[in-house]
Amino acid sequence: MRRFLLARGAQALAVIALVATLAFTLVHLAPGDPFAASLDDPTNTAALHAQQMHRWGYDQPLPVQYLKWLGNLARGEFGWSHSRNRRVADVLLETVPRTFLLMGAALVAGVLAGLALGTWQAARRGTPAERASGTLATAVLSVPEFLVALAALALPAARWHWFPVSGIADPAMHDSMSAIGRAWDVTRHLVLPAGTLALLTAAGVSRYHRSAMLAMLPEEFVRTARAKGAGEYTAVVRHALRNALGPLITIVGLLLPTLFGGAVFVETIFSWPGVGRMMVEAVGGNDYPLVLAGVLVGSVLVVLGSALADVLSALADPRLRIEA
Amino acid sequence: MKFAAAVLVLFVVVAVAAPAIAPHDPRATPQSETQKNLPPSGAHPFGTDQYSRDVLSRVIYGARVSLGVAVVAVMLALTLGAAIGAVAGYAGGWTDIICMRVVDAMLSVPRVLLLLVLVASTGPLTVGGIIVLLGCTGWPGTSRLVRGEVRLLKERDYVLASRATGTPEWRVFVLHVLPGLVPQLLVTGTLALATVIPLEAGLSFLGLGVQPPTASWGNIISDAAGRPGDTWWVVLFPGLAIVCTVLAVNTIGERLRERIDPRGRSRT
Amino acid sequence: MRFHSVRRGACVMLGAAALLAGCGGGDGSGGGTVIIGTGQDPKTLFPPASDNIQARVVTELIFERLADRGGSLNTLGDAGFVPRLAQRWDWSADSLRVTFHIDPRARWQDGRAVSAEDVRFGFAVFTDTIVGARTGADLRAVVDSISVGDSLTCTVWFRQRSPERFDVLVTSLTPLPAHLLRAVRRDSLALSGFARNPVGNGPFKLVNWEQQVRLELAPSPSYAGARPALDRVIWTFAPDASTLVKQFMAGESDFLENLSVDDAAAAARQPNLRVIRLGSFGYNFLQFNLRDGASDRPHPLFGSRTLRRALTMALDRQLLVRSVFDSLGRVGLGPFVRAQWSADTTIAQIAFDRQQAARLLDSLGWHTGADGIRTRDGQPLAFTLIVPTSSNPRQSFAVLIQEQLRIAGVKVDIERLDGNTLVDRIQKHAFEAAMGGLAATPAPSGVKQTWTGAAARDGGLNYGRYENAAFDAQVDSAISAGAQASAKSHYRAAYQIIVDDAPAIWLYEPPTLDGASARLQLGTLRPDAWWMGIPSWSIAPGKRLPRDAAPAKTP
Repeated sequence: MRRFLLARGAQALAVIALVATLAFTLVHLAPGDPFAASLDDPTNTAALHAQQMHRWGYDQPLPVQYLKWLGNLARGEFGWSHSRNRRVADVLLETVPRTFLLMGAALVAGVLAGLALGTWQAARRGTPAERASGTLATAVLSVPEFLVALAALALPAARWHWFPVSGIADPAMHDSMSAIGRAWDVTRHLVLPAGTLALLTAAGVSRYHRSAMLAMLPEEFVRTARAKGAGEYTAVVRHALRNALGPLITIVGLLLPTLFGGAVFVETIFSWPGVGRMMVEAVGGNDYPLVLAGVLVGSVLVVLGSALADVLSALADPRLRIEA
Repeated sequence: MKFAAAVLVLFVVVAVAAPAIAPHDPRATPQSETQKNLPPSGAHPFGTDQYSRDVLSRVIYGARVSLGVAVVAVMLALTLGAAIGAVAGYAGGWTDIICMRVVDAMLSVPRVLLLLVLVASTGPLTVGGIIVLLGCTGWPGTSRLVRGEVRLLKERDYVLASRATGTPEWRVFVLHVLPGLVPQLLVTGTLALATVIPLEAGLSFLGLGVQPPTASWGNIISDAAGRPGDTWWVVLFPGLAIVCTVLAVNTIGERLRERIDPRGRSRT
Repeated sequence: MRFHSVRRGACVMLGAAALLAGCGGGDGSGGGTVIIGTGQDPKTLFPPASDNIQARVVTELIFERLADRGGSLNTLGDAGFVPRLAQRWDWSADSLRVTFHIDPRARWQDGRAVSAEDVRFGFAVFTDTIVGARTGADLRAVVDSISVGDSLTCTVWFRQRSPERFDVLVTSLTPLPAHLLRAVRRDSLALSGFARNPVGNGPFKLVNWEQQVRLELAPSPSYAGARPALDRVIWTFAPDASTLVKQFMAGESDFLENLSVDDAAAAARQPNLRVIRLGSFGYNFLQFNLRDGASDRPHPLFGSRTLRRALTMALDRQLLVRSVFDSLGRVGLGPFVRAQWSADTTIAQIAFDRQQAARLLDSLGWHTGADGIRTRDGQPLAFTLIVPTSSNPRQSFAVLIQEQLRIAGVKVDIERLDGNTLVDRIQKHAFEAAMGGLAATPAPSGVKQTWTGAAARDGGLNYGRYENAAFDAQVDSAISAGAQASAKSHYRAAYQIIVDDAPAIWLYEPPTLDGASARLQLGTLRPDAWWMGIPSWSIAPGKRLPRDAAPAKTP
């Protein structure tokens, strides 16, 4: 088992190192630079610009910059964000937990809803209601995240005022609230962005789960359960559900990249101050160190997710340990 | 399935015949003073946008761009994926290891993030550029699939036999291995379409995809996203076009998969 | 209903906070909270490094300068300037020196008295090239040195008697707390903790800044002047323009800058909102590159003054402006804005005249071809216009110009570029024509940095490289003229020359439309710096919201 873990860990590190190199090369090919004059403020003179480029080492050959960057990275130093005038690490410490909160809430809500729906569909398979719900799930999966987010912003927030339009907390009242009040405040702000992502997660999970449940249904123990006189619903829920939960780990692992990609749009539209919005703003501002950090965070999340899924599967299935 | 195919055919016909169907020039801004932001009416069934352009015509021409970009990008991704997967599968050894690690690396970055970085490094793109970008980020899944199949098939008798006769490897691949992969590639490609269409729309929505005045479904929406509450028609109609197309493609893809995958056949 | 309990709790907590703080800064019950929506964070709160508008807004409320331009928008001499950190100032007989007497009650927010040394230190920092302050070059050009008399008097030594020297001095220099910053290395100043947690001397102090989320200011208890009426000013940040607008329309923010014409119309329909129109401090134009790319050869088309004039004539600028801005925009008159004191609306313009434009083009040998496009020696009359995708009005203008010039037989290809790429291209002179825009200040002398021959070389901002010695001479005379009347006549002459030469088609002054909640009492907003009025903003009685009662968090 230890060898498996080491091998999986080494593989994950290699992947991340490769991502870092690819991203570094791409980002530094970009036209413009962190200190280019902006459109409405062209006052940055050539001399000042050259001075800033030199100050931050952007005038050095690319391989030198790359090695320096790698060296800093190895020491856990992500560099300096020019657009925010802070250490990149500090920016990440703020933004990453917010994205985790958003994605975590979406995952929990989406997976639970998806499981419930999938189970119900499996138990009621063939009925018109089940078919309609299946079509609906496919339809939901066909709507791009940004459209769902735009609709959620336009109607429940802007038109009906059920939820705040944007942000993570009430800008004026949050600090003076009680602990419960603050939790409620964040929840209110979380509902629409997390709900957007959860809707898509639920649709995806329900489809996987329905098939997994159906694959279990004809098996011996379910029949036994039925024979014992348990109602079909109980049989399905009790037995098939327990056995169908295994692949869920893998599915959630697969969902992470999609969810993270969705977070880019959702965070931008709802002004949720997480990594996705940070990336869009950093790309716009040519803030190289921040862009690179964002890519790394995204890939570490995905790699960790899939490595964790592998390890959990390996724990459950001894055959896999030897193979790797 | 039939309905989905009909919907898809309809959109393809609309895209191909856009100049004949569209009631107006999608770029024309004839009465920019008086004709802007008009709600749907007889003259403009989908209304007009903030520059007084006819939204119906823009959605029709947008079908061309959005579908065209998606189809070509997916074909590019499949070709790249098949080629890289075949090379990795046949060559084995270091080539295989390196190819598969690159695949791992690319799959480990959420595709939107990858595209964001790529667009940042290239600047605003032409339609061709977007196709290349979407194609070049879409191949890893296919290459993994092809590599797996190649490694299974290359030990099969008929492949070994034809190799023994001195037929070059690539011919063996093209003549014997590839045909066996066509159904799987078809499914992969169809389902890839269903991810590429929203992706292109999303990029255009962020202002990083197809640049106006060329209409794509995504940038029609982003033009109006400022005020979907007021000019909902500029968002709704291209949005519906995206959803219908993706839904149709998804349905077709799922059915195709069920036909190929024996487990799926027993499902319904 | 839910708010009731929160509010009551809040009042109790407020009382406790006031007792604990024991400050004399008002009891907080009367002021209220204003929330301002904006797109971007300030990059920094270190005044010399501030380079985006948001940084200016916040630092100018936290830091006070020696004097303020005031509502008159005059930039000549010291007429109309209002004492701020300095109580008064005296000029030397030769008017090359001015001595400032600092308000003895002025305090830094850590309690230290503001001293003359802080002014000298600020000057040293601003003019140090290592620091790279944007206003450093202007300051160096005008001021030779600053000497300290006693702790409350300092004397500024000017290099020459340029009429705008006082304006440049007080708008470019922010005194800085020497006792806090002297020990910090100059090249690290902008990166130090001070840039995120500044200690200022102005009417407001920073309470809290969470990047991407919010920035909160509260009245500074150590401020010697009148205490601002509000208890809190909070900025919230949203990257998406449409989200900002929705936030504002839903009442989640009280003030939103720079509404689009359509959004302004929608806001005006809502009874709880109003729209304020300010004088514009920007002007936009179609800029020709008079040289062939980055080379020194004249551009094959735009090297010709007659051709440039013909293209100007072919455009109905009134119609263009009405199409994009309805009745709210104004046609550009030249390289200035109407709100500057030098503005002259009587400059003879190149009037819209399609026939005359056609005659001029014919006379140059450009004759209409079969497809309606003019050609000469087989070459079509065509050029590429670059436009930033980030600017909606500029894109609209480009599309409409394309159509109007097509009627005149000129083919325009529009190339859309993102903001960074566009700036990169025009800085390298790699363009034929560009939809340009410049932000102006009340000081008309800025024209020297953007349109004169000197600015056409060595990385200057005259990207189209228009050069006319007569224009340069008039600008120089205007800048060195002491009296406003004489300066005005020189500016007038300069503007007439450049308008006649048509190095650009002056298109529009974009309307500045700010949205405000009807519950705000704003007074008059200054067109060059609306935020300078925030200290006197207040909430209308009877229009208070729960958030007005929430206590300011003690930093």
